[in-house]
Amino acid sequence: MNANDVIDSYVRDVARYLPREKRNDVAFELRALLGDELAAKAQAAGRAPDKPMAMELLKGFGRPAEAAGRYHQRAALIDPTDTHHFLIWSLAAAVTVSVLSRISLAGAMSSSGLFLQCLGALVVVFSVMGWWRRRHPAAPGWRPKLGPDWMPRGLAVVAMTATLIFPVFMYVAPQTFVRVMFLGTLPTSGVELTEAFSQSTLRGATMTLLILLPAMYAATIVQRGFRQWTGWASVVLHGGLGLLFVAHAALPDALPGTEILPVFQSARSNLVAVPIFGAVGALLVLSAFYDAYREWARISPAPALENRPN
Amino acid sequence: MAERENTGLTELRRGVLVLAVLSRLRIPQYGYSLRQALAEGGMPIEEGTLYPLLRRLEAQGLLASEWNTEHTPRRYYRLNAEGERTLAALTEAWRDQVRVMDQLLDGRRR
Repeated sequence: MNANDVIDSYVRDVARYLPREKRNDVAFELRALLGDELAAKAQAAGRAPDKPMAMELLKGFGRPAEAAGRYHQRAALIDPTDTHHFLIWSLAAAVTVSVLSRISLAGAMSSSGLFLQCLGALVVVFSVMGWWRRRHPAAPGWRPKLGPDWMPRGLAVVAMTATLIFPVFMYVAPQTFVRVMFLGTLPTSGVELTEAFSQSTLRGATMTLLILLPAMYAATIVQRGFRQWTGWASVVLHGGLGLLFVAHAALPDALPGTEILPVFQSARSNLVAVPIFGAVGALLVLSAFYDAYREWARISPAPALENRPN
Repeated sequence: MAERENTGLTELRRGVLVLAVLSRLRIPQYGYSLRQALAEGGMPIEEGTLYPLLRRLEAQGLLASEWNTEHTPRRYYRLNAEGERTLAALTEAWRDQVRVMDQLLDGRRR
């Protein structure tokens, strides 16, 4: 292979990265320019051009893909500015699929297959977003959002009241809950708890966390919104409750050899309740992960900015 | 330290590259001859940077080009009417910038 062969090979490789209509034109010009450069280099060296000389010249041009990129910049499939968010969403998808597969909510699903589908969907979504922004550069790309501390008193009161009714009241006294909510039209025997479950540590721990949940909303009423400590309290409460609800559904399977601890006396009720406990628990765990990420990534303005009058 | 200075110098030169190239294209030049002309004028440019820049300027409508295949085939670039106007405008803007920068660097008010 002589110097000309090396340059021809490089020019072909550069042209392959270019749009079809530009290839021949750029290749012809690049070939002529490299020929000039090589001739000048050979003249300066006082010898005929050879392969090492051509290779040294081409090193200055960079890899063929880099050289082609200077002639024609192709749009990235995922905008570089979106890379961080793409990675976060991919990680969230991996965690979600992992949690779902652990509790077998989707039956005999293939977790790796589901993750690849999620990843593919994310690539499509981010590509379309990037394409849309390139097509409409003047479109507004940002809107102001409410901060992480936002929680008006009215909403906090509604959240606290709703939490006290559902799930605190429902969990603590399920038969009374059914009687009150359905005005005595439904039989309450289906939700009668077993003696063992009523006195179990699992129920005690769940009730403790459930009662702390409205207490947390009460704190947001007093503080007029979330603060960092209430944010972390929310993470701990939701994460803890999620794990406990998963334990309601998975305890007999998770700890082989232990006695099965049915929640309700009715076998049919247990059959219905177990997947619901699992699903609610999984959702709470995922929500706790998301809240933990938000707290970890929370941006607090410097004190001087926070105290600046409006 | 020297590396940081080199990076700063590269950034500075990148900003005036278009003006430097346009200034040398009042007469037709092909890629290598233009690179030599710029180097002799104190503005050496990497070949990998200059050649694509010529095509970009042509695509922006500032340059005209034609192939000369009498000897070694070469593409000659020169300013067109729009390129002449752009060169004049950029030259004026550059001189204004030099004046502003001199004032800033000397610590004087405008």
